[in-house]
Amino acid sequence: MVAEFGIYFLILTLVFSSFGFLQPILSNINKNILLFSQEKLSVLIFTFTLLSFFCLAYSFIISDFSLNVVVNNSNTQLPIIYKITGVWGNHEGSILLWLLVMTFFGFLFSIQNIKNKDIKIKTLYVQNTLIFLIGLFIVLTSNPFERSFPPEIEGSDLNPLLQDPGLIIHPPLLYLGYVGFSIVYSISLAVLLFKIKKDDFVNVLRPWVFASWTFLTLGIGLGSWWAYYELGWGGFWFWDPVENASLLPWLTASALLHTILISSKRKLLLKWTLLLSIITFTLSLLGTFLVRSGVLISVHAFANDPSRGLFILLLLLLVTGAGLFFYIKSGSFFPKKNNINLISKEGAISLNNIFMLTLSFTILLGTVYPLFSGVIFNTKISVGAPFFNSILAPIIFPLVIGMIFGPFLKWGNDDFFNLINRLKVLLFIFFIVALFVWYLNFGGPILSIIFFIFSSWIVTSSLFEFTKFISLKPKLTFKKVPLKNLSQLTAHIGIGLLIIGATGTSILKKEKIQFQDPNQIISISKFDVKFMGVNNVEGPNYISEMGEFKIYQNGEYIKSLYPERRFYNSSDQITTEAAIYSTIFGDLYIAIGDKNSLNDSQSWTTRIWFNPFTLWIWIGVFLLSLGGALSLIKTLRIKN
Amino acid sequence: MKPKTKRLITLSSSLFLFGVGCIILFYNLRGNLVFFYSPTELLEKSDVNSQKVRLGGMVKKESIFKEMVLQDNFKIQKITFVITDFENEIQVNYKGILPDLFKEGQGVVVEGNYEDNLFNAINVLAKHDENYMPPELKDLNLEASN
Repeated sequence: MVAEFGIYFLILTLVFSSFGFLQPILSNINKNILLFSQEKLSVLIFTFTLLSFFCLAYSFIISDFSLNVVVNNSNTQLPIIYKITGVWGNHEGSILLWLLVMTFFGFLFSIQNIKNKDIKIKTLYVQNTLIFLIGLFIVLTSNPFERSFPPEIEGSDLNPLLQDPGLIIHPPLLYLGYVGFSIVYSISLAVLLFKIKKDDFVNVLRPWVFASWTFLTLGIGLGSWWAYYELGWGGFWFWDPVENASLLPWLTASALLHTILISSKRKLLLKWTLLLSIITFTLSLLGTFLVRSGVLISVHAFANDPSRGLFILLLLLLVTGAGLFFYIKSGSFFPKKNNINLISKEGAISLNNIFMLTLSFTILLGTVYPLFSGVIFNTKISVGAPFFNSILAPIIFPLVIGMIFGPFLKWGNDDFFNLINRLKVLLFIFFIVALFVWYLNFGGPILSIIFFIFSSWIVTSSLFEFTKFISLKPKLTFKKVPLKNLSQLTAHIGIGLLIIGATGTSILKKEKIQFQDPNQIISISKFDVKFMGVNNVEGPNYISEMGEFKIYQNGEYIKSLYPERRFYNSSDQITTEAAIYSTIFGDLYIAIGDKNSLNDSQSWTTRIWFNPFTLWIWIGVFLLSLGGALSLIKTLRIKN
Repeated sequence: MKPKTKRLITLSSSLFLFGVGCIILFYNLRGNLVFFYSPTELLEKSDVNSQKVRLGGMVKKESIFKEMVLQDNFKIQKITFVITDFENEIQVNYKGILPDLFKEGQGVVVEGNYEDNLFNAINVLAKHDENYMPPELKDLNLEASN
């Protein structure tokens, strides 16, 4: 019964959101027709979608096995928390979550106090139309409330890999990021479509860009963290198509984040801001298409239905086409004064944009190339991690150099020699830092040393700028520090730490795989790892083989680690649960394989990694999103 | 300089840079492509020696054989098994840990080198879901002949 309500609410959402495009069309015919206020519509739409989502969640909680999604993705043995997260652990439910987030952003936008009512109403036209399209997609191709007949007695279980705390919040956060850009797109398209030739749209746009970017950063970071400890492969980024798909909008959004500073402060690059907004949401949709249509080989692929892929492809073409068409059609929209000097803050940000977009474009190429070659040359290929790593390095260096010196440049026009002169002290510090890093890392591969030097330069230059800023204003207390400086400081330091962590984890990691006898000691980095044996442990819906390892450093016992292999009762699937000992110098990472079945020995396959500086990745991601959040707070303080 | 000339120079130099970038990119891409073959396709190829390729098919039943070998004074597991597409089969060697979902009679994709009628796998690619079949394997129509 609840399921019927669910689909009923979904259809109500569809009906009401259709006024997003009906309203402007009808009022074009007859000016006096006012069907609904778009603001009130947005509230209604959000309420109905939320109710529909609750209906699905309820069906999962009570294990209503008359629904297909519940049968395929849940089980009575499942702990309650994973019954709930099972709602978005499948295609239908996750698209419903996507819709919910989209209506949520529409709702937030509708209650936001925006002076320019014209922009507000017209943005909601676009947003509600987008909601209508996604709603249509759900009802036509991915109805989560589809009945299975006859009802099953027991469900087949949620994929054990998804039964994990990291997966409770990873998808919602990621969607808040992805879908947050729908509002950014709606604002931009509204400006182009309805020819709102006022530059104050930038201020409307700003908070949504910062909010979505922050969520996207957190979402990607959490996903990477989950992959790191759950997959048991010892890495944090695999250049999987889906990971790439999330990185694409993140890169263009990062470009947008910087550009919007110019466009709101100097009223420059206004059209470019609009284009970046459109591209970013397009890439979010493309990511969804790649994941959901199953055209690419990916860890995230669910069992697929070709009609869904076609629908999303059409949606993607429509959204991109509309955006680009009105962008080109609008011609020169704002007064032209795009004179930007290369040596200036604007110049640095423009270069940042160029490199961010280049990076995004190359990753896109590597990700979809197998698709095209499959269709055109009929060969099956994949583009490996070496490709992405080899293009990343040359593009990241100019980006980093821009990050180091850009913040010191003046707006408008600056002089190169003047800059050098101003930064004499900093350059000297750089020299010392470089020597120090080189000394510490003596013997490491040259690439890792370069990366370490550059990333520590980012951190030092950010701190240098900040201390200089504070020393200029001696009476400044910490509370009065402008958020702008603080957010840039945290975000840039975050990137620095992220590069340190990524370099350590990917270039300097050490790996040992072997059969390990009980009491045998394996030495890796500064640690001695002693294998104590394996016990069988019973979990709520699995049986686990739990290994015990004692970690010693310089002969002193530090702690024990318990990596597991879990055998899930209901789905006949095995998962590896790695055990990690994190320190600021690196992670000791242990996973166990199967028992040596060749002779009667008690030895087990063990995988032991030492991943230098992995912790810094997560700290970096945290600082990045903190920086985004600070920018958001600052933006919200400015009244529109 | 006239604004028009200036614009022309800016435009042509950025086009040039873009072109060079694209050439480097595609060259790089071509060097890093990994081709996927079924056993039959791989046997037909003669020029894949020492090139990294992927091989996909079914793990032949009762073909998995494990032994223990010493490498750098550590005992490690050496596994041999046969990948088949029910027309041809290829023997695969692998040292290390198999993914959790590796089973006989199931689909598998391995990555490595094919030399002297033997496939030395560097990677056995894991699947995340027991029901999930990579699209590259789907085309081989393994279900039908099982």
